[in-house]
Amino acid sequence: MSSIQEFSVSRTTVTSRICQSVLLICVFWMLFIASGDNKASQGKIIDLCVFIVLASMWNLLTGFSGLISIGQQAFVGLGAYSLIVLANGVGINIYLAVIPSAIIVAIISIPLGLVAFRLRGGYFAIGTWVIAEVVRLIVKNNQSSVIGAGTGTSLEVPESLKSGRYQVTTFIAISVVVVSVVFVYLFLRSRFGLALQSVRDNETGARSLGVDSYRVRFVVYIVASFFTSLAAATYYIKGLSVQPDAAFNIGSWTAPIIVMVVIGGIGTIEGPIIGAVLYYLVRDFVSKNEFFSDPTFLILTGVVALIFALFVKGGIWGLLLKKFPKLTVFPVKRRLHIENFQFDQRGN
Amino acid sequence: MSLLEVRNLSAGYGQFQALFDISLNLNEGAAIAVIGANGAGKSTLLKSIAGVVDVIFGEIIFDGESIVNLQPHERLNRGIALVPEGRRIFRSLTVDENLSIGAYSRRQGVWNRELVYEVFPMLAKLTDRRADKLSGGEQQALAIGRALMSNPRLLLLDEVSLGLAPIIVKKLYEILPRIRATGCSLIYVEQDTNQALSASEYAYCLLEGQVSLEGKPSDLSREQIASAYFGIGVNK
Repeated sequence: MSSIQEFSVSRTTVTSRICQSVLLICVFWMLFIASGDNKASQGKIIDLCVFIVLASMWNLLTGFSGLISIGQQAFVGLGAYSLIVLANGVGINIYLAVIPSAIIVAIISIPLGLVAFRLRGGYFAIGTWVIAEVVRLIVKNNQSSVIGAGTGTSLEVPESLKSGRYQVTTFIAISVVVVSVVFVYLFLRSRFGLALQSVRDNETGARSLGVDSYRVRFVVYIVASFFTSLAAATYYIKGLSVQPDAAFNIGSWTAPIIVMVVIGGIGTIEGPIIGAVLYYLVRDFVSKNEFFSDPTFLILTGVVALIFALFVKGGIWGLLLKKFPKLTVFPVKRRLHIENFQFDQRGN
Repeated sequence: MSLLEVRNLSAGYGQFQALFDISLNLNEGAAIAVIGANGAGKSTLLKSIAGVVDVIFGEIIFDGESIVNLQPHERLNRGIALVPEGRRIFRSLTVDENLSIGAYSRRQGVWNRELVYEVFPMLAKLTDRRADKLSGGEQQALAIGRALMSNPRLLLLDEVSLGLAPIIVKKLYEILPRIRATGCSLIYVEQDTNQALSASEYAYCLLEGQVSLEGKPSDLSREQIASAYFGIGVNK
């Protein structure tokens, strides 16, 4: 028989510490730009941060929980309109309204989830889209002056807040992205996160071990809607004008998010970040070129995403991992270190 | 004392009824076998005890209380763990993480990671391996070890031998007495009649969703079993 005397479990590695330091430098560099006066760069940082959060949350739903949602634009739009209602309607300071508007959307996501969770697999995916469309139509038909029906409305910025709005918004965006990514990381390392991945891998197996698969997935659905609307609210403090057809548009939100996650590497924490950065850099690079008009760009990214989904399933991060197996920025795997471990003579 | 009592149980999947009026009894610390052909309802019986299949009619009493209306996780909290057919391991997670999920219910008892690795030495050297990279026998060991992490009072084993080499099956069955020694009762479902009967004190044979034969394995003749198993009169 074998005997185990000492064992310990750890999750950090040397490479993970190095990668985390590099990431930290990036954050400080972004903070440096945020404190400056370059509005163009600040705007780009805000957009990038927003899309990293959106991609991470879609990945948490689809990559880690097996819930395929193509209706994340519902929470983008709801986040935008909650901000409008709180700031324009109630009169709360636009910056202070960001977190409450995300909380409101998280509460709204509970009844929406109760409907969506009656469906499974592909039907769930279509259901989320239908829900997003229904929400869009409800907002679009609301004639009140705060919502502004189909023409939309603009976030009213008081005179006192007008100067330095880009700086403050950039700081908020950086905070939101850092909190989101750290949250996803800690969440997946927790007992709950492990249960989540077990449900994705095998629901029957998870249920027979006492994991309440419905509750676990529902919690993730609410969490994802919270952070998605948090990012959306941040985006609209920069953008200011909100129209229902734009805020609830699948083509400007969920479609690029899926492309980012698929290209970056679905089911990993690093993948969506890489995908979002890459997508954003390419988009920015070709935006001056007339050939890459919006439709052409959409078609091309769609083709690239298809190629990745079919032939490069792990995405760019998966390719990197193949080359450098020890590479990890956010170690979610536990490593067991056993000392004085003896195998019996049969080699068992 | 009776740990589990199933009374007049009928269960099925949606419109399809798989079990008709099944009754069985299991004493604390005992091991019973449920045998039968494909589609006889053996797995459905275990699944309805674990709560993953809807019960149409009947009563399931565990430790003196009805559990028929409890969710699977609530039954697990009371000490009923299922090793599902086909192993159902979590393929993208490591061996160690699979065991962690077994402990999700936080039930206290003798079983922990170290004891599982001691009882299943084949797993101890594979702690960091992804579960889909394991052999069939290792996966089955993992599925059993994972269920033990919840410190069950009743372990339901669904076709442990499925798709495994006889030598591996023998190895796994050699471990079962160690599990029973911790006070855990067992119900085996098997198509391999000999294996199941030799490891149990009492046996039920199912045929088309009904109990066609029951008794102590030593009291049952091969002819009785063959006729109850296939549902045809076997002449000498």
